[in-house]
Amino acid sequence: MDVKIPSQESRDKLKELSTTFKPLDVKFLLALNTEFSVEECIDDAQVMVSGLKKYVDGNHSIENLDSSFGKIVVY
Amino acid sequence: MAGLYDYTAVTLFADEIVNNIGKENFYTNKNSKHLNAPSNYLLNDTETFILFIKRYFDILGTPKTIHIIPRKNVEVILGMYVNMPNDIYVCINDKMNDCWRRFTIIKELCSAYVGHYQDEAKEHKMFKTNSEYVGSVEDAFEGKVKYVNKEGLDEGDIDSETFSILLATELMIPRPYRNITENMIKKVADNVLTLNDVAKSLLIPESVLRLHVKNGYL
Repeated sequence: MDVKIPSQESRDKLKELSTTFKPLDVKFLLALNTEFSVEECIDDAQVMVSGLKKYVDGNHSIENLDSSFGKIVVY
Repeated sequence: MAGLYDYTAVTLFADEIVNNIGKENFYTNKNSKHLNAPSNYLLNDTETFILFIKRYFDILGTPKTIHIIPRKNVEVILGMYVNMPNDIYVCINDKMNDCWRRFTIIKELCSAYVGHYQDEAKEHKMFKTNSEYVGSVEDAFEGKVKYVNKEGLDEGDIDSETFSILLATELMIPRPYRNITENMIKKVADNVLTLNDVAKSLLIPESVLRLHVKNGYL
């Protein structure tokens, strides 16, 4: 099965999250096999993007992040 | 060259990166994770490459802060790369083992590196991109990359995600010491070693190595 995250759909969902959060470029790397549906991929993408938005909106502070974040390393 | 791709550009990019970093800085023969794995050269750590990408954007005049952000509550996605004006965010699935973590970080930063070249290349009509997203690592290996010319004088298509995945793989199987890995692969054929042994010697996901071998890149 050829699983791809539709570019436009993902971009539209990004826009829904915030009008101020406009990445120049977003790419996802999915798991090795292709057993997952597009919906599952989109759901996971949403989790990743919304978590990132929280981090960005908090000015990169880790104080208000929940336990779903591992140790963030900044270079 | 066996496989489906014109592989020239991938190896050119890989060699250029290794030359820039220096093979003695980029690779080590000390395997801190699998002490009993066959002796091989492997990627020193991901930090060397992260700092290389940071320096690279400095030189471009567009400095970036690079954030590596592990997430625990994702299942399907291995990694995500987001490019913002002053920052690069690499979100990774925190459930991954060390080999997948290394591969994902390297791959996502290859996207940053290659992305710049594509912007530049598009201006010169070197190649155009059709897609920003990829289904899976396996898709990338099984998919099709049409043409990349060293001089970039002709037009063609390239899937940027596929390119980044293949580039990451080339970086993680050190080209300057490729003969060591090739000899190990021969021993796999002779049932002296397993592919898992070879993967452990490189700290690369076994399935990625298998796809690389299957497609004739080793």
